[in-house]
Amino acid sequence: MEHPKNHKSNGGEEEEDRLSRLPNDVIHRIFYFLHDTRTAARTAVLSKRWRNLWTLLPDLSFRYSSDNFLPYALLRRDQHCPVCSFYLFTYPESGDYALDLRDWAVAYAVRHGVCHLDLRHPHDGIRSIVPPALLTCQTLKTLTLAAVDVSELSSACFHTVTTLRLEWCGFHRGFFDVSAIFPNLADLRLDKVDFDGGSQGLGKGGVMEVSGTKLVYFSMRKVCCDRVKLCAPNLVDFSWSIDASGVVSDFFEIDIPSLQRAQLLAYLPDDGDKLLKLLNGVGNANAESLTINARPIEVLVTARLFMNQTSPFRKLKSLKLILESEGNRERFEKIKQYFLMGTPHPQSVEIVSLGSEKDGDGTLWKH
Amino acid sequence: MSITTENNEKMITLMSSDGEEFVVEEAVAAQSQTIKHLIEDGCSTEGSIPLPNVTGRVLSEVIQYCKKHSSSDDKEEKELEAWDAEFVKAADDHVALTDLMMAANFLDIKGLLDLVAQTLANMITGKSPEEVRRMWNIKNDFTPEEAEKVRKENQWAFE
Repeated sequence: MEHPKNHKSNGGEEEEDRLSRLPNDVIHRIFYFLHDTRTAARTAVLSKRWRNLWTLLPDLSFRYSSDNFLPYALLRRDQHCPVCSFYLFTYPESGDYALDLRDWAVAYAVRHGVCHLDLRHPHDGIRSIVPPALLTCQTLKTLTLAAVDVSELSSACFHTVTTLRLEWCGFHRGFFDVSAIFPNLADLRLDKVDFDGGSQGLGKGGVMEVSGTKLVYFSMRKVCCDRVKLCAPNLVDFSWSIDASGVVSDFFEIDIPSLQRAQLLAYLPDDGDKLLKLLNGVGNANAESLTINARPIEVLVTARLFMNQTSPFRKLKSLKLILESEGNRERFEKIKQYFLMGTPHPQSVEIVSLGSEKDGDGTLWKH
Repeated sequence: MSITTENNEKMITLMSSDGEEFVVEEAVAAQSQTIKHLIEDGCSTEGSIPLPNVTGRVLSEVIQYCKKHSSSDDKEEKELEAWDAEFVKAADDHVALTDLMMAANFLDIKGLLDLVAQTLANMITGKSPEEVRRMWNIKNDFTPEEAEKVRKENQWAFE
């Protein structure tokens, strides 16, 4: 029978086994994309060629770690093989054993020079504390923590970390000095992180300072923090958003002279003064590209805090205005003119209408 | 051989293991880190660049990928993703995929390597060892005693 393709895929018995002939590092690349060490380990039974291949895998990923596979895999693994990336999702609700296992596994990864660590718990669960071994890790480049109480981080310093992502995390030590803990951070993403004063008596909300000289990208999404100091001389990209229940932080100091792109999205901000402060801070930073939704502007207009002064944006080249609903086009035109008063010939102006209202996780919130 | 087109785009010639020649823009060929380094070392000016590990059939597919990805800087990410999906689907023949993987590895084209690795990983996910063996013609060369030992050794992975 004639096969349409040049090579037969399920032809005769003699067909050679091309997959097994791939070099180890190429097979490891395939294993990496399984995103699951368990599936990789199952290939051990295929043939002699595959028996130990997975034990040399530098990228480990454990999705449901409450059973015995995690300790088995780490003990069975080649002990001389370094760990490059380590992903672990645990359910703290399944008891102390799950957390002990997590801490033991993290200690293993730290001993094996882990570069990219990603620890997660369910969002609606208990926030567990940071694994103790993590605090001593000096090989990490990327750290992602989800649903973890990160207060303990303030007693450590991670010189090697360049990317930090915190999701659904909490910090209860009052003052979170990001740059003191992560002095070489280039990329910082905070998503639904709550900062509070804790026992330090600093009041209800916490204070955050972001002042690293290496910081290039900073995104704050649905972050709850009373006061923020943002002094990052090399910050290029700044993205900030809060939802309807969010509170605008007081950006009491903003110095971001290298800023090029800013994205500010807010729903029903309660405090026009603070919002204006943020807007001025970003505007004075000479941002060239701004994405903003119309709702916070409407609030400022209503509160008469706006429009009767010159726009802080002087070098804007592109403006993207997001309209939540088909409202007063005339007003949007005014808003547009306001932002562009320093640039009579902008390169691009885009007005995006979301049409039907999206609150919460609509398209607007996608990064 | 190094020639220049009307658009002032520098062209270089690549030669496959079976002697087929491909004339491509330098920017397209430079998607491959291996070729890029050869160009930087001045190898492209002395005739065609021989690629002893890549057949003409595979090389033409690789070039197709590189052309698309060198011209799509400003294009929508989604469009490129859809194109990639069609591309691996067209090569969705196990032999073609492993050949493509080897070529991407040798030529050091990270995007293509990851794309094919992901495709192969998807083909393994959710399959029993017997299904994977059948799919790839992998010969089970364990003796019954060894097979039993390996099965015990890895029982946690199957729970």
